[in-house]
Amino acid sequence: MPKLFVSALLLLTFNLVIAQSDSSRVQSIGMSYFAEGGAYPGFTLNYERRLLANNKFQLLLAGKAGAYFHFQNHTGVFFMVQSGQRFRIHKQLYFEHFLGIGYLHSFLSGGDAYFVNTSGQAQKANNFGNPHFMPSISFGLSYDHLGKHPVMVFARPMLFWQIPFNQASLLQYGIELGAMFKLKMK
Amino acid sequence: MRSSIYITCLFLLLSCKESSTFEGDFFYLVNKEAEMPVLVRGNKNSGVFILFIHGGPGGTALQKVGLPVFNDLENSYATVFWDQRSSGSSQGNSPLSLLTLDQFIEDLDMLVDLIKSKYKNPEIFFLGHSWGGCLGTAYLTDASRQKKIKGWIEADGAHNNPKADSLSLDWVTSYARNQIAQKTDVDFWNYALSWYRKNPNFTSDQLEHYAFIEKANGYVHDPTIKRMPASFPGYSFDYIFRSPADLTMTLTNYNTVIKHFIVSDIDLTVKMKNITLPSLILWGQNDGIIPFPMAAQALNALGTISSQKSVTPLPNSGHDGFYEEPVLFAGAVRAFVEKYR
Repeated sequence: MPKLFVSALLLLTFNLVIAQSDSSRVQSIGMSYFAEGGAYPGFTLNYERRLLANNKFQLLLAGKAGAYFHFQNHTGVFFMVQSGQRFRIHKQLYFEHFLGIGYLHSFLSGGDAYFVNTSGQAQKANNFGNPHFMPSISFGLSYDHLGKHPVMVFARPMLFWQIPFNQASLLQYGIELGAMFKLKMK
Repeated sequence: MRSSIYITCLFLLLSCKESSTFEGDFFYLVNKEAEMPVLVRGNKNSGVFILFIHGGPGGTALQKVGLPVFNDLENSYATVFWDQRSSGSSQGNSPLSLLTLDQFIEDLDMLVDLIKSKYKNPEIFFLGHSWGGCLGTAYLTDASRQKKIKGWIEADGAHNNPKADSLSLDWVTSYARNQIAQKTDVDFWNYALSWYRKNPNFTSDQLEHYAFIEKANGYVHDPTIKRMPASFPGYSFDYIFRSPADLTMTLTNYNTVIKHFIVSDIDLTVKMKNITLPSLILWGQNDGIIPFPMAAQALNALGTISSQKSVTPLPNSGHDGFYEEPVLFAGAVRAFVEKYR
């Protein structure tokens, strides 16, 4: 795993350098429904910048911020940057994948937290949450609907890690279903 | 754009929870970087709380919610399901150095104080299963802590791990030789026997032993019960999607605890004479993990007077009698609680 994320960092750095070199890149913003664990609702707000593109391939730099609500377990708030690639499969259908690094803050949810003081009395505890490093991998399909109101819709399963979690790395999964809209550049 | 908003709203609506098996008072006990979920269900007005201490270490109590045995008991009493430090769906970042018996005892003591504080000082009965039998026993060997508890129920408990492992080794190797003689799964059981020759002093982090026990039906005596979700919920839809439990947390925590908290050397037999509470010992007669002779060992070691301690055998059960004989199990617990509440 460390090699994977060093690679992601290098790729992100490479993409940032390319991003600086040419300002006329296609940019998109959008949002998605994000289901943590496949069942717990959430959302993301997304930004994407196309760094290189030809008829069959796109190199992408993306950013994401979002939250999800795992009832009676935890609420997660996160942001990440991603490096991605998109490959045309057929006409307007694409396969895409992203590597990301980010930050997740998790808060206990569904009930009050208590501690017991030295006198044996229960008191409510603060719920400031726990910080985590959040690397991620996602794969998916997207469809670029061209026309009067162009929109790209996508479906992306995601694996992400919550590090640390009880001195280990907790592997989580989610699925994103969303849409991206191209920004009109002057 | 408008269609995207409609689709988003539809998904949010579909995500709304229906009522689930896991209703009750839900809260967390927080102590030394562990955030431990607690679910209290049943008849809280009864003034009697049965606190279930789960096995493992590194297991989970939340998986037992909704079992027929507890549904039965909840008609009369409250039940408390607690996922221990770094176990089940507990969160936080508990240091590995705190995976010790003393720390688990401290956490349990805090939970007892929390229950007494939150529910106006009810009578608490401990029900400890497997590793929970070890933890509950260790807790009760201290006189001041013991005063907080009304009665002790040990179910296939690990109060003496070295002796239990020795008997378990005999149990599974006897089963293996029997299977080989019947020409059943010969390669597998020959492998098991050779594994035990190489690992005669296996420890609790060596999962091969537990795999052999599982194959020999030492956990669940009648494996057909696993096909009955009402009796053996396992990883049911409700457990995975409609409960406080998180499956990936449960598996990750188990992996952490089983590697870093070795319990094989823990033997509480000598200290058990300090336990003078009324005690009920429930034991599966076909238990392959902590074989049935350990029930008599517990009975003899306890300091409780003879008239206030007893063994109830579960003749058709392995290690998990509350799955296999819920009527007998719940009946014995109910009779015990009613006698001593």
